Amino acid sequence: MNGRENRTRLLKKQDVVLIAILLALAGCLAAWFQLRPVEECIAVVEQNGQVIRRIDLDRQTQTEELALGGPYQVKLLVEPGAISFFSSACPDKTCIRTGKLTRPGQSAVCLPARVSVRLESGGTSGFDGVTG
Amino acid sequence: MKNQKKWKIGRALAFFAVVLVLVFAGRQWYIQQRDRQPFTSTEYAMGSYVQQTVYGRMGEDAASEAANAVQRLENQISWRMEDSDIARLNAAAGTDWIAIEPQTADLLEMALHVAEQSEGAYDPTVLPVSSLWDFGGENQHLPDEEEIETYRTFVDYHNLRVDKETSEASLKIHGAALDLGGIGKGAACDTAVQAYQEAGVKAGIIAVGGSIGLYGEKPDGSLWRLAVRDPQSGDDKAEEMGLLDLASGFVSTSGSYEKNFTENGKTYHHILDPKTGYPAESGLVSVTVVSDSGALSDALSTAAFVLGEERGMSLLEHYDAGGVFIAEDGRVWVSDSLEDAFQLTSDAYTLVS
Amino acid sequence: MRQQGYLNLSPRTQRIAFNGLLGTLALVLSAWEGMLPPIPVLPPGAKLGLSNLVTMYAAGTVGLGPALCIAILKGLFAGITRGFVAMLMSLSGGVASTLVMWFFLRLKGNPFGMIGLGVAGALSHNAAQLCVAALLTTPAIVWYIPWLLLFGVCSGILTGLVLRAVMPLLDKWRPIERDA
Repeated sequence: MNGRENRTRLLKKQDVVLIAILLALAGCLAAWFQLRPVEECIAVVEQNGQVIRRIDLDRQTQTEELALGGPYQVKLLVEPGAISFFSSACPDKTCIRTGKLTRPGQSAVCLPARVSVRLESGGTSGFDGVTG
Repeated sequence: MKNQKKWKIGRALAFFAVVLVLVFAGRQWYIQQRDRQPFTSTEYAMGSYVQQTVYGRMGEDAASEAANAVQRLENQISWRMEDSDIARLNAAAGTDWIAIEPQTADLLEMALHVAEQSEGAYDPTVLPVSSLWDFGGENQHLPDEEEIETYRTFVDYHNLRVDKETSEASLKIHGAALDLGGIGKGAACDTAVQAYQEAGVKAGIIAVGGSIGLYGEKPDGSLWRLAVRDPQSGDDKAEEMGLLDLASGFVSTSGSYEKNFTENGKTYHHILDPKTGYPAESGLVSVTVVSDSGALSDALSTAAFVLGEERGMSLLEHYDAGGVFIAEDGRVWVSDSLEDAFQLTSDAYTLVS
Repeated sequence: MRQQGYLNLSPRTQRIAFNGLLGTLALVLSAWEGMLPPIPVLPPGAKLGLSNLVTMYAAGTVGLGPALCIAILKGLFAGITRGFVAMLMSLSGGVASTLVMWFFLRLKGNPFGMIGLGVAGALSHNAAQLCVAALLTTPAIVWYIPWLLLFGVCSGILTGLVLRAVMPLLDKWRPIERDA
């Protein structure tokens, strides 16, 4: 492309190689995504209906507090394989009484603070919903 | 020279054909992945969280359409909402008939029907007494006995009259007041499932509080698996006591653990017996009802909780609904219709047949 | 032979005019692309990236500075017309692809032809946008990657082909001085 005399050619051998490598990479990735067992347990934290955090509980190695702030100063407790409401200034404390969530499908909500935590998994383990 | 050119063109064509095929394959793969990946959302309505998982191409649109429909329903039937059908009915109690939305009329009629069949164990006119307790509110407390006695006289579903033909309703006496909270969450599930159907999604599940609506078949073909919350769970772990595998329908649970408070060493839960004005004492801690209508499942779970195991089960039978009843002492009853669908997973309970 | 400038403008004016022309072309292309109906199977935010061909041409002819200016201009334009998120996406993609294409063009004996360059540009464009999207939203979009790779390859080939076709036209208007 540097001037008329030394014009870059349309297609070079390297181009084909590059494209072939990329396509192979795409194929491998697609195959990997397809075959990968989806077992992970992801905690999805939402505030006002917006996802604010996604935490992979299987990869969580230590116990930590997660302060979400807001008018009710909600704090979550994130542990390896479990998540729960640790403290909240809401009047009913239903969220704390829900206890620790450990399995995909479970959820806990603090209504006054409009914070919800649910455990998700792409696989077939767990359940689709909880009644009660 | 000419041949070389031809060969070059052929090679280019072959190259683009391969790319084309790959694009098509990639597109198919992408669509498949996308449909497998459901759209999930959480909103707040009906004084509770609304959680949706929708499978299929139009998932996101369907979920927001459903959420809007639930919000519209709330604006229409919540007594807390100014200008709602119910608020206007309550304000006009003891005066005249009020024109309401056909949907509200349908719900009122269903509420009335369940009230009659359960002989008042479910009563949509419980508001005068329930507002004294204010469960889950800022002011929840044990009301005076006299207060309860006074306001209990206003609680009687016979005061409610509904005319579906003209879409009108009235409350006969001044002081009577409606609260459709006992069927609102189930009705919201009905509305959402209808929205899924209209949007043409593959499948969807909506949970409004403890009520659940199921629509369609999941992409992997498996049944919907619902966990029935363990009434005793909470202090250290949120656990389920059993699993329900269902193809479709609506599920609602009334449990004494949902909203309660302790005063003077006694725990008071939010499911009131309209006859006494006090929390129902039927020996049950949780009733789960499966029905093909969300509003009905919600009303029936409340009614059956108040009625107790024996009369509750026969009420469900009357409505062709299934149920899982959990007693304080850990006994569990499952209706015949759910025998195959229900599976007990906790050792703390024993199935009684 | 290329026309020796237009009218009797000074080389500097010609350069400015030509850069302005390229910038306008990029805006027009990106606006036109915005008007196309969204391609339904694309992951949210992914674009054909036709305006890439302008930055590619600019990076190869008038130099890195003007090329980056065009990419930034395009990003600001997206910000005005489609909001802050679109601006971030457009800026990140445009700047990344410009840098990558310029880098390959500068390499001694540029290894790639126009198609290869287009593919490299399109992929860096997509990659940068995916990173921004992952930062802004959830990282769940990771499984778009194979499809984005494939899509990037195709749009890159398209960019290369189109540029090959329009290059003689652009060259006609290019001031002769700054060939480097």
